[in-house]
Amino acid sequence: MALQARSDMELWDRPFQTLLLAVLGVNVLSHVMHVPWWILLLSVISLGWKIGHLYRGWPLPSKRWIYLTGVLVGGVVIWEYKTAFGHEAATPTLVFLTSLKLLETNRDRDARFVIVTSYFLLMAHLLHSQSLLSTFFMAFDVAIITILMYQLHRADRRLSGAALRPVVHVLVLTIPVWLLLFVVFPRFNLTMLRTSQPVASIGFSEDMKPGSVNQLAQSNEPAFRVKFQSGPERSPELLYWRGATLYHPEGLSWKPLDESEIRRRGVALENLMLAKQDLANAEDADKKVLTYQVIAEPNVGRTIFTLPRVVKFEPVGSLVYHRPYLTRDGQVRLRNNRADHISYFASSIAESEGELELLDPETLRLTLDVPKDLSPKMRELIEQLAIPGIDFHSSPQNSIRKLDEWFQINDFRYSLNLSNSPSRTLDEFLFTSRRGFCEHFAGASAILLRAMGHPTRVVVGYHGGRWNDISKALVVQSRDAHAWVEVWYPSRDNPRQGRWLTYDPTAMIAPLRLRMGGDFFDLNEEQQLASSGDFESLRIQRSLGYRMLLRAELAWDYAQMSWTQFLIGYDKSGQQNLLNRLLGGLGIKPSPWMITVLIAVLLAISLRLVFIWNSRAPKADRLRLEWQLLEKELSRLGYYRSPMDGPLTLRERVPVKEVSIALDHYMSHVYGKPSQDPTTNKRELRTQIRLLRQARRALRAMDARNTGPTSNPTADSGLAP
Amino acid sequence: MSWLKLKPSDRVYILPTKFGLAYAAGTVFMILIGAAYQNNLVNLLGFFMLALMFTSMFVTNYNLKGLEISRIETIQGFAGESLPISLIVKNNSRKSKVNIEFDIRGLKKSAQYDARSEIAPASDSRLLATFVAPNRGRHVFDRIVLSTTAPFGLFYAWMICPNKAEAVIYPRRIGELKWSESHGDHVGEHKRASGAEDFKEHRSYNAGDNLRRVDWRAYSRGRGLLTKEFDEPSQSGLHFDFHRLQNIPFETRLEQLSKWVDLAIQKGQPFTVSLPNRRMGPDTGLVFAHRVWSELAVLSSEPQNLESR
Repeated sequence: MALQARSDMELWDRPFQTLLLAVLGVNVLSHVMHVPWWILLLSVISLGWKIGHLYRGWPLPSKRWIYLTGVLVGGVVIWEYKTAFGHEAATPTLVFLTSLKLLETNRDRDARFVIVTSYFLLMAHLLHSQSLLSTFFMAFDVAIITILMYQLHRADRRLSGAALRPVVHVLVLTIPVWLLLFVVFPRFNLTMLRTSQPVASIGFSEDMKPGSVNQLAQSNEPAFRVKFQSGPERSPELLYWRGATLYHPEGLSWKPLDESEIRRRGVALENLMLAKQDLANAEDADKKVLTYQVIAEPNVGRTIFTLPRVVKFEPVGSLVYHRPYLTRDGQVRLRNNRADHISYFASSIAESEGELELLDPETLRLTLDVPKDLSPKMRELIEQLAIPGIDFHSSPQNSIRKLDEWFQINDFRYSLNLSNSPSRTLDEFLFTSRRGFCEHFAGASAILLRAMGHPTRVVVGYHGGRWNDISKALVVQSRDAHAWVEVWYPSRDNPRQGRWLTYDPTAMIAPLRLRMGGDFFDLNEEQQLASSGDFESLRIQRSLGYRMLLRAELAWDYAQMSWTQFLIGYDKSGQQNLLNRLLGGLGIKPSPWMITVLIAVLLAISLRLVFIWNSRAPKADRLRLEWQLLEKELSRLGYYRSPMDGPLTLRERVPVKEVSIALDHYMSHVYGKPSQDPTTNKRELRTQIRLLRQARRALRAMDARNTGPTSNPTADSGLAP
Repeated sequence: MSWLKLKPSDRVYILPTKFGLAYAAGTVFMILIGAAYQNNLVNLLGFFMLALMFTSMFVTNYNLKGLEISRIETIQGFAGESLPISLIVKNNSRKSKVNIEFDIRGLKKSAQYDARSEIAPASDSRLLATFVAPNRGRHVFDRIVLSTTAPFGLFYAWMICPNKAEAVIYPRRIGELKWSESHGDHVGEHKRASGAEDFKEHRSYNAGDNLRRVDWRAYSRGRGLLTKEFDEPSQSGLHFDFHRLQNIPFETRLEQLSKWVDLAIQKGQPFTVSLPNRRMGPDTGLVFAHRVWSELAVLSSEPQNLESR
């Protein structure tokens, strides 16, 4: 391999090259979570090579090798992602190619290339994450890129506080312009330009496999936050956040309907909302309807989390572009995948409230479907549990009771060991291990209830949440992921009508799992068995430090939520609302374009004034100016000074105290030895200017006193020599 | 509001650089992506870039405000060779000026030195650049352009200063003819006692000095441009006659004479030059050589002039 030796020029430029490397390194490492590990490894290797080159003199590869590697890796990325477009495939390519480019960067033009790509790397990061932390990162990154751009134009590229003062000055001027642009720049919608389906940051998946829900239980990342607007209070343990409804069992795994199937059965959101509007707007709505705002973290897929029986749904901001609709099973879904933060308002009523639902034959068939390949042991169990003469026309209450009893008698327990591989088959779970997570209990119960004649479906989502009393919001974390079932309760009058009601088998097996949420996993087996009693006493007593940390966490969570809420809400309509609120009082109906132009003009004028102020004459010249003005004033009053006369002669001739003081000072300033200290000199200069001005003012005042409105300005002045 | 008005000489023009255009394209792309993904953080980044362009336009513009050329050093040089020109620039504002370059309209610039250093408020600074010297003759350049791309290289601002710069460009120093071959009179030339020249002293650089004799090491230490003087060997008299260079085009004759003068100076020999209109010398030394070269620079090729004098 041909290698290039290190040039002297580059060595001379080492501080700059190091800065370049640091900026790029920060941007590459910000993609740790978004690029395949091997891309990251290759990028780190090429950055490391550059460091070795700068500080240890390692030779660099030749251009041919660099280009070859670039093309090769680009090809692999395209092959792996099946596309070259969209930010998903573009991010790893960009990350690697920029790191590679650094191996041949030793000219200013290449540095400019790195600057521009750093912005794009930052943009790619922001497309993946819009958290508060990412916002701070953006501010930091933008500052160091700006410093880099500035350094590019300096001869002495060593960094120091004094050297950076001009760039700080520019940034300080930029910040107000930046914020104003953000507030007033008209927003427009170009969602049709999107090329890719974005990726997820939390792993909620819509099908259920043994252990899949509990995998999420190991993470306490927030999934979404809920702010309750109005309605009856409900304790968190009664809140079941529905995500997806599953119909097809495959052993212990459950699958939802096909997307096309769901859509075919879907209802336009508006129609359903209209039908139930009166319910939400009824007089006693406050007692019955619970209205809440959900602010959700980025999540792959089309899932929207709501409480059961949604009667009203209002998307906030960009969510509308994902085109939400309502499925037949009462679920709000999106037509397009999303990977951004979203927010929406929803209203739900209690499961037992509201109109009865119709059970159509198709749903009936789907929700009674039992796998054909049940084992003989399983069939035996079904026979043992089934109540004769009971089918979907009758209430499932007795069947549920019987099922619960059977679970209790046979000592079923909730598994605490998250790392253990869970039971894989229905038989293993029901007849051998009898240990499982919520998805085991939900899946098994659903099959058994269906076999006993009751239409049943599995629901995956989240349960409960943790109350944050700083933000007054409920934080639902990944560890609150849960699975349960919904069973059909037919109406007594008309068996075709009825309601889907939640049945949570986990509540029977491990009530603490539901009451404590994710904290449940901090308990030991003994404590878990103590299913009754005061569960607060079971919580591990924490130290003051820990509690303070917890407080800080809540505060951070609050900040995070408010920021996300602002970012989502400040779209076209959010902007219009703000402008209307700000300018509405003045009777102006603002259009964003008009305001942008207006503000641009105002900014241009104010910046111009700032710079004119900055580029006025230096102080030393102002002293000369002041002195000339005084001379002018004196000569107006008749004290003409010939070029030969020094200030001393003038001082003797003018009998005004202020003039004498100023002249004394002036002489000591001009003829005296200047101080070594620049601040003393500055102060001295300021005093001098002030004294000269005072002297001039005193002369003018005296002149005004001595000359009446009618008299001759010079004749009576009393000052005439 | 007289303070808002600018003197015509202060007028600053501004355009984006290539990098500035790339940056602007990046900004537009960022805002489009922000709209496509409805991502307010990407919008925030796009607006930052826009705001930075906006302010840096002003900063670049005002980086030239308050600058004034206080002196242009006399310009002499040989046609086709490198022509160093330095300007003394005064900063009359309260802010340091950085990255100031200058151009002379009608001259091709070959390099700019020290452009990245700062000019402190209320102080003078020297800017040095080299140009490619144009054809022989007396040239007047009245468009001196001060320019800058500071602080970020996004914009290029320039200001046309009304100062006049006069340049006397000598004929090229080329020609293959040897003066001993009957073209130049050869008056008692002695072989030099020793081949090597002995360094005598430094003197300050004069335009037209042989660049090989400039002490670059001293320049790099910040001592300014110095020419090395050497002990001159014993003198001899030479006569370079314009009229005896027959059957050669006019310009080539001047170039040959220019070359001979240069050689004579290098060897330290006294010489006499006969031109169509006058006879110069015998004399020696650089001052005399510059006088001769200046004459050669402005010598007119009109035939009647040659005849009449």
